[in-house]
Amino acid sequence: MVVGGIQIPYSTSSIIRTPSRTASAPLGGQQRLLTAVVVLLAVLAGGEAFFEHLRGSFCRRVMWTPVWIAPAVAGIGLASLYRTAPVRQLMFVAALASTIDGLLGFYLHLRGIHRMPGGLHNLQFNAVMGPPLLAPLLFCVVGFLGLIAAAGPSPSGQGR
Amino acid sequence: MDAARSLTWPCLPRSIVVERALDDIHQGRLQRTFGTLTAAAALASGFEAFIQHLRGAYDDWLMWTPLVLTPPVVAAGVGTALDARVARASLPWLSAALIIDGVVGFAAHLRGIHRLPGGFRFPIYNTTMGPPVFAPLFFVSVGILGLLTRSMPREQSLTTA
Repeated sequence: MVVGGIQIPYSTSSIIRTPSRTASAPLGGQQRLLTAVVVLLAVLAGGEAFFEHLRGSFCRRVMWTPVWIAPAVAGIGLASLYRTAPVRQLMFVAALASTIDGLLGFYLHLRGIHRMPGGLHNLQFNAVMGPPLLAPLLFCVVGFLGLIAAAGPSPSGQGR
Repeated sequence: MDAARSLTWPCLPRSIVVERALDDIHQGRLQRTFGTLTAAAALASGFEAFIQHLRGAYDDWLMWTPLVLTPPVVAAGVGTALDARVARASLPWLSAALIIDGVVGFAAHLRGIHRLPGGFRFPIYNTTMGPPVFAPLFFVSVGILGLLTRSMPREQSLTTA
């Protein structure tokens, strides 16, 4: 596998089975890259959500949820670089939570804009000054990537 | 469906479409999916850049760069989902440009925080109230996604189902 001109060992676990490895063996090449991207995106999205919600004084309890979910996804992603057996199921749950939280955030941000003076009729002003409308959807991207990582090839050959 | 797979995806029905999609994931044949995800992530971060830079009244000409880069990247992501040639011809270059823009944006946002009263001596206040420090790095992640997409094999489930 070549990424930006750099040769990266490509996981061939679907073709070449390695039965000597245990279910807790670390992930293979492409899976490691994918997981690293999930971790990076989760840290960025979580950090951004923390600072932006801090600006909003965490005035609603639900504003803490991305701050809880992002470190969970990042931590599980990092753990899956070293162990796979129980971590894949945890990643599935965390990624699903991230996707749902992203959709919930999108709805709540839309409602936040709707609640501003003029609501959706004054969209040009309210979309700019209100809560960022599409920002929560980045958690959906984190979630989708996490789900793909969770369903990816197991290096043990156990997951096919 | 083997034991490990049903454990990872416990709620999926065992249809042939799902089986093929899982096969694609297991064998890393994800170019169309990743092209679509790149386009979606670029659209979300690009729209945010547009809105937030509008809030900042496009004070600096550099604030236009994410706006200029986003539509071609979204088009290349969608194009990748339709045609493999786009993934090789235009997506890598646009992704590289997006990564550079993200790094430049990160430096510019750090400078913006530094220029606020007190600068880095009041990091919590100035990071919270100043330009969002992590936001430009979203573009770096989208660029990495685009570069990953380039060399992936394409799905069989969508082409032969």
